Amino acid sequence: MNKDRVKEELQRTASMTFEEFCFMFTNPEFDENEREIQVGKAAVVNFSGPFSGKLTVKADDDVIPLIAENMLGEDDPTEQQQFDALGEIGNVICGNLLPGLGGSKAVFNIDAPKVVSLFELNEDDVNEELSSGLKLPLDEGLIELKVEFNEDVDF
Amino acid sequence: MALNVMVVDDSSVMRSIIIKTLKLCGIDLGEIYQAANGVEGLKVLGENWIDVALIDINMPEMNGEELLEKIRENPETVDLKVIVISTESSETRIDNLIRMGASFIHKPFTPETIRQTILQSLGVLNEQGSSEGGIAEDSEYDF
Repeated sequence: MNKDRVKEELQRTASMTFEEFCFMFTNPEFDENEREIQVGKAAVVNFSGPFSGKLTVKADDDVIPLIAENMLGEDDPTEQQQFDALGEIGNVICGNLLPGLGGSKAVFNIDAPKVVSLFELNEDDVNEELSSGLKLPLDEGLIELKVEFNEDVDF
Repeated sequence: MALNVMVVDDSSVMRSIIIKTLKLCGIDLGEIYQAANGVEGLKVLGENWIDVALIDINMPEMNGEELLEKIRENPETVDLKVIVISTESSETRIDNLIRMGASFIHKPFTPETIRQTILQSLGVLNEQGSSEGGIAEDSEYDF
């Protein structure tokens, strides 16, 4: 698996999604080693097709309300709206990522996103050989993305 | 002529975004109905006059492709203008939707894309985005 290629596609689709849906832009001065998300939520999107796996989009607790506010154009979104917004971000990123990796003729099935707390994510079983991820520092806060494949894929 | 629109998507946030975008794109809107899946969408269609339906693909209970098939099978809704709004990128699936008479908008989208696609589906704009006459294009919006 070409991890760099996966990372590039993830960067491209995630940046585009946050820019076009949330009007949130990447902060170029972020130090990748500076920090990780400690408290937050994650949208998990399972997919299947020519290859299968899952995409996880983690967000700081501070940035999740801002995502929802920007998407909805309203102040003070409810907790459910915030979770839905994060889930939809995961859905859109996944939907754009997969054809970027598998080609436009491939047919994928994408499950409805699930939003979980970071404690509920089981990150101990991640096979690093079959996964690729990145940190996306937005002006408003940090996003972490990881895509894990169930099998080795020839990209 | 005010358009009655139905928005079908299992995400309440996405329905809100689509409705907000519709209101920003300068089209004269009548009633806006919402449904969370294909089953609810058919119920709305059975009870109300709808000019344009904006539908997602991946939904529980009845997905967008199944909903579109049902719409085309019913003589009362066979000519309904349907626009699919989805992350779907498979050429195979998109071609199938277009063969069933739907237009397609890819997520993420802009208000202008929604506006142009609705006007094209109504025959106000041609494929190049130029006016065919009829309903005036009112493009006053701030986004």
